[in-house]
Amino acid sequence: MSKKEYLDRLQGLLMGISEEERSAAMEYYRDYLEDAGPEGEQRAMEHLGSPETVAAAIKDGIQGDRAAGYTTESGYHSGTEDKDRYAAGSWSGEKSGAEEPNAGNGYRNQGSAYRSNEGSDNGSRRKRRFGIGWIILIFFGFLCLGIPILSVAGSIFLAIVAVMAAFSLGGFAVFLGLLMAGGILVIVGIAKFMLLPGLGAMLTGAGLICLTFALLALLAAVWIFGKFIPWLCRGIVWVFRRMFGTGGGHR
Amino acid sequence: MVFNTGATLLDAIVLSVVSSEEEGTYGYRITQEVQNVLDVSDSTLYPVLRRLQKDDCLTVYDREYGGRNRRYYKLTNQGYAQLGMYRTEWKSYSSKITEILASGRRGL
Repeated sequence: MSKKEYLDRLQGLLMGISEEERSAAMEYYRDYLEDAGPEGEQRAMEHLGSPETVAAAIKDGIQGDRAAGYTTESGYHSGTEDKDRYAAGSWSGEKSGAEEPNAGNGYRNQGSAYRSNEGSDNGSRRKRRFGIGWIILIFFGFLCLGIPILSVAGSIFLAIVAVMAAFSLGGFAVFLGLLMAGGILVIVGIAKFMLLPGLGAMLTGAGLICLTFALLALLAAVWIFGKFIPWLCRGIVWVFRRMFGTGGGHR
Repeated sequence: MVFNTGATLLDAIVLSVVSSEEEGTYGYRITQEVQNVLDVSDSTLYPVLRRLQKDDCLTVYDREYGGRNRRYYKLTNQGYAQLGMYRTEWKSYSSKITEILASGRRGL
């Protein structure tokens, strides 16, 4: 755009304002571009911005009060855009304006980099949580199933031990009872043999049978005590070795 | 420049720049000199000059230069009074700001 075109366009845009204001403004900008010189006028027009920008600044300068208009790095702003006196009556330099978006981008990049780092961190943490989850699951499974199973198994084991002990003690009791009864019957039978040989023989025979059963009961009790309970203990030890003692097995 | 320059400060700067030439100075040169210290956009200064002119702080006259008339700006008596007031106020204001910014603990 040539200097003439620029000024003509500006004049056209200023038709809404008074003749006095328009001629003053046109005088100023004609001078301005003349003073920039033939070499500098193109650059001067670029620096001024479009005729529309210049016209808007002129109009706002006429209408606005002292502190109404302001310019920023993004151009001229009319005071009506912002009621804040400090912001309204101010402008800031282009350099800071140019730096701020870069700084903003840098910050956002850092932010996204930080987020992606955090994301991968979350991934590994999730894996660890998965492991912890399994441990918790096993623990609760143990609480819900293991403890009842173990209590039932323990109860059954204790019941078996108690029954065996009872059988064993019972066997001893039967042995003692039969031994005493057999002994008494044999003695009474021998004593009665002189007076009533039939009854005496019968009593003595019954006494001997009682003694025989007593010996059998004793054998059973001894077998339970001496064989079954050690076998049970060995069995339990073997089961515990199989469950926990694999390391022991390697040793 | 991170600090905004208010319209009043811009008035003071323009008055000071214009006052530096006893015979007055012209729009293009005023713009150049203000832009030496501030990143102010080129279209900002005409409304400032026009307003100061309406407030009777500046007066204009045309002088021939290179075969044409160039418009010159010059301070009126009221303009000099206004500039004196701005200078006093700025000294007080800027020293207070300098003091408070210097007195605080050093930032990290």
